[in-house]
Amino acid sequence: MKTKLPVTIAFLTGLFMAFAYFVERDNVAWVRILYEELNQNNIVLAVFVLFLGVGTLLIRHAKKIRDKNSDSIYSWVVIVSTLAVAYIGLFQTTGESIGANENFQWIFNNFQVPLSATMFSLLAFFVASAAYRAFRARNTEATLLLIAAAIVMIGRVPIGSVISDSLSLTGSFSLPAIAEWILDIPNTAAKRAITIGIGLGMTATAIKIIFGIERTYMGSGK
Amino acid sequence: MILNLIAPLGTTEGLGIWIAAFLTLCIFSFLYKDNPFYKFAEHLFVGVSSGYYISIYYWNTLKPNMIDELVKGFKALGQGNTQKAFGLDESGAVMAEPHLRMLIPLMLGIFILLIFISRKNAWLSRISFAWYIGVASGIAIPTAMSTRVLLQAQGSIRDFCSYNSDCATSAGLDPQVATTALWINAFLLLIGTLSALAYFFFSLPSKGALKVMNKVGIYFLMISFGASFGYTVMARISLLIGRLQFLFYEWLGITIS
Repeated sequence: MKTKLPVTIAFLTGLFMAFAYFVERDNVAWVRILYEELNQNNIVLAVFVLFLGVGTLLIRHAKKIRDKNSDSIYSWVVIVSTLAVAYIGLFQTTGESIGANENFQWIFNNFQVPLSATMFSLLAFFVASAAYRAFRARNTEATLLLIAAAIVMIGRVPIGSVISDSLSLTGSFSLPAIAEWILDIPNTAAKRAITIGIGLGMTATAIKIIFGIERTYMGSGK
Repeated sequence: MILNLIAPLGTTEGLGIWIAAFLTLCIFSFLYKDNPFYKFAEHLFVGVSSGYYISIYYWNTLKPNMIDELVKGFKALGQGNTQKAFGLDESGAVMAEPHLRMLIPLMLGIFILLIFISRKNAWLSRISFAWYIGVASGIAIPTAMSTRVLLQAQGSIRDFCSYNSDCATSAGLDPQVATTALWINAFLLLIGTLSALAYFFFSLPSKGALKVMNKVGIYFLMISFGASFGYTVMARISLLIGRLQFLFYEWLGITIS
């Protein structure tokens, strides 16, 4: 029961969604409605999964506080900030749109935006040190990586045009044009191959899930 | 260069700027070494993000798609209109508005949250995950094959057809006048895609023509990784410039004239 029922549900829902894609849904009302409803159900379920994630996060930090972990003060920060922002977002919003909640927007502009932007901008420094290790031209492959990265970086900022002009590189041979060409041709070619590989992998995995071969989504199996 | 007054702390806007500046500096302090200020900002980021996304997904997804539908359904039920309550019209046909049919995802959602409440019944969450994964897998098979495989393959050979007026007309494409450069680009796109795919083909030993293809594939992949790396670096530096502009212009009020 604990295994067969979930596997059967995955089989039935998966098979229906795969076949419904090929049906002219506008002509078959029940297929269209069921297809849209299952999609809608999944969107709703994703929110419950988010609740599961946030709940797990809070429980983990509560355990740290209970165990008097040396860093438990930071666990308080996580718990208090999560509950405070959720309270303001959920209970102080009047009307239909959260966009009208000024307190929530203030928190977004002065906490969420600077924290996320600075966190990602910090990566600029670490990317630079990673570049030093990766970009040493030890062989042909590393040299190609180095040249492509350098041209794309220089070609997409104003100094790229200035360097091109000073070296009398014009038209298709200017640094911005070469950077554009690298992104459009060799980059696209390799990305296409990777995308095709991902597509085949996704299809194979989906088939394995529908036919019950892949069951890791059920956890440990106990 | 003019140094104006630092953003006034007394106003809501000024307080916000001071908080944003403090948090920005807390995170930048990690460049020196891991320290309590960074840890505070890092944990605050996690907490604020969690609360933020809970609120956003509640108002933008859960409420319109489930809660409002259930409210409408229970209202109809209260008025004695059972058919409407379950999203059926007068003839008994299924309507697009699900109303009380949304009790199914509500039940599945509760099954997911049973993990927190009842260890004994936690296995019921498997039903919800099976439902979610089954639907997602069913959608993924045709869409992944269509968009990630067939359309990408089509894109690699499309230009060859566009450059031939007969082929373009029969395929419904806009005919293009092919220059030598365009032909070279079309060939490079095709060769790059095929050779990079060959690099991931492990069913045959890498010998002869396949070895040559693999080598060419690696070169294309390396150029692509280099381009992606360069692009990422530029994006990160752009963010860094944005944060520094905030600190200098908005917080410290420095203007260059």
